[in-house]
Amino acid sequence: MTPERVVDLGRRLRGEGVACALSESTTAVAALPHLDTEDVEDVRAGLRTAFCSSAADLEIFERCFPAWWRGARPSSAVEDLLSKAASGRGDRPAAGAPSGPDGLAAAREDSGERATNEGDSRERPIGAVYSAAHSLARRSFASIGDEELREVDAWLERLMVRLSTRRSRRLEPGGRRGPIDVRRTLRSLVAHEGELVRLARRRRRHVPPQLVVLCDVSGSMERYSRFLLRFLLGCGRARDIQTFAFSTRLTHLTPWLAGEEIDPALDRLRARGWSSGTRIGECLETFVTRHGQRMLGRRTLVIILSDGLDQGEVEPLRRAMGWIRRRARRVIWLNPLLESSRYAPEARGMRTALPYVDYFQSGHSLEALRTLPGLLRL
Amino acid sequence: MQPDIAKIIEGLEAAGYIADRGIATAVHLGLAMEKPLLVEGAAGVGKTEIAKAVATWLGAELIRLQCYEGLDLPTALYEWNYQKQLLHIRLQDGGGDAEAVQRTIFGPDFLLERPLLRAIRCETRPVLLIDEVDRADEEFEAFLLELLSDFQVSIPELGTVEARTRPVVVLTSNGTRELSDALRRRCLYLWIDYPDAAREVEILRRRRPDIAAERAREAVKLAQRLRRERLAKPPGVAETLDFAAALEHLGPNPLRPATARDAIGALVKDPNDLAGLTEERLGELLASSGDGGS
Repeated sequence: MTPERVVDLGRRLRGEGVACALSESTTAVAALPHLDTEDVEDVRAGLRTAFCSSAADLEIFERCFPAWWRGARPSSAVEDLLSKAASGRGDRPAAGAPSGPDGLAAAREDSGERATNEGDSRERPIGAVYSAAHSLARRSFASIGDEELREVDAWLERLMVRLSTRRSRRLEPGGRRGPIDVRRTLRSLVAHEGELVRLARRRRRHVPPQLVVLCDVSGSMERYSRFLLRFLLGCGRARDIQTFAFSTRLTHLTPWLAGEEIDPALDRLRARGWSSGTRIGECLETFVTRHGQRMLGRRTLVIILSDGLDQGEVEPLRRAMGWIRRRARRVIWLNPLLESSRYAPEARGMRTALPYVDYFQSGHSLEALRTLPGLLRL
Repeated sequence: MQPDIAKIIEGLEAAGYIADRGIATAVHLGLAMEKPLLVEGAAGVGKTEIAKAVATWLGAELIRLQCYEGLDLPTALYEWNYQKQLLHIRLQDGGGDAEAVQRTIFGPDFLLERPLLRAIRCETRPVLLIDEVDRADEEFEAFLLELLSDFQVSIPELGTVEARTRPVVVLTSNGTRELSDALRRRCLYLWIDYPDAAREVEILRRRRPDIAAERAREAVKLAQRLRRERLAKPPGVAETLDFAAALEHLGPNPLRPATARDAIGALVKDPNDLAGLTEERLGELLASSGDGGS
């Protein structure tokens, strides 16, 4: 098995959304001598350790591996010749890969690019992910002018500052009341010839809290989608925030938004078609089973943005909300319908979720969102 | 199969760990390529056990660092022995200049070794288990990154300490926090899933030979079936083990729904999950759990 073939696997995985770059391919190539490359199980288990770095990656790996393995075995001499002729170079690997003779060149270009441009590794093909069932939504968000958008950004900056107030268990030097910092005290002791001049102390440090944001992007919420996404993207600038979009299924947004300017990311996400029905319960349950254990903890704030008009079952919603409520520090539900004074949370989904919500707010406008930082203060 | 991989399966089995092919391959690569192994998986699938088994198999010392939020270098790496230092300063009272005192009390005799420094200074290749690395904060992770690439630490007062042998490093993570890409990149990745029924029975039999084979099989059957339900906390291998032991205590009869319900607290530990598991439901699960299909 040639290194080029392994690089090709890396390229394929990257195409499917595995965040593997040059260093993963290097590791994979380095693993080859330690494996029996004739044995499919050896290669599978070995390359898996090199290319994958999360449970989600494994799924993609298992899906891509069989096709790659079939292509990875020596191809016929004819194909070999054809590929050489096509490329005009002799050092090309057997071109059994469906990606065609350009595969290697693309892989090389890719790797080089990755090495210099880290942000790029988040780039994912859009076409591969969505199905026809999820209709394309093209909206002009004319209702919010440029002026207001700038204000949204400025406000988000302020929100992020306000959110940075959780006290960590990690201690830093300073303060007058905390535990004594023996190391620093002793140092000053030496400097003052054994006289105790001042006790140095340590105090707890402030760190940003964890935030999990689940955002409804279904049809009934599309008026707010631009607004909400700006909110999400603003959140993404803070350190420890996971964002999700849901309609009839759940999408983990964070990887899409990493290192992105708002508008290009927004366009790419819009192209995925987020406006169809809503199955809040099932989406939240997917969140709980796939990510809940990992992302929710006593220092996590959960913000759910949805109108609560649910087409799905009530029971999964109840289960998921109960689970989230018990694990998260606070659950905040933003429902733009609250804007209307006549609105009462009578929709089935909303009624089910409400007992598990700490704060129920409209979040339909800047003014409404302004109250949020106060709620989030810890 | 690469011959070394077969050897590892055997070796780990002798150490009491039933490894499948994927696990053995990852361990083999970790050893051969001298790369840290990052082990993830649901709670209770035996992540920590791997490090222990590898240490037993290699006859190496196991050095364990349990991570938690707020874990800092004095706890993980080294600390000065303040009591001893103070005593020394007292004894020197009046005599000797401050410079000399400082040189002495920040010397090797006054250094307390913590797990990471110990792993680096070990004479023979140890197994370093960094358990639940996701619980430590980002700052510690950043430090770990540096340590895992160079295997050397610098102590300002003493200078640089280099590893004599490269420790075998196993990191485990329960995923309470996303680990940084940089750390993931430095490691080989191993995801451990729940063992299949046959392997789980084997694990139970090996850990607790006193439990009747029939009890072990029944416990595994139910546990495997429950893992396919949408539970907030699916049972881990340790839970299956407890459950089998509980069944053993409850009598030698074949497992009935009522008995399962009595002992279910050993297997399922989430109030919501428990609420759904009535005697009737358990009866259905037991009846349907024939071959792992359905």
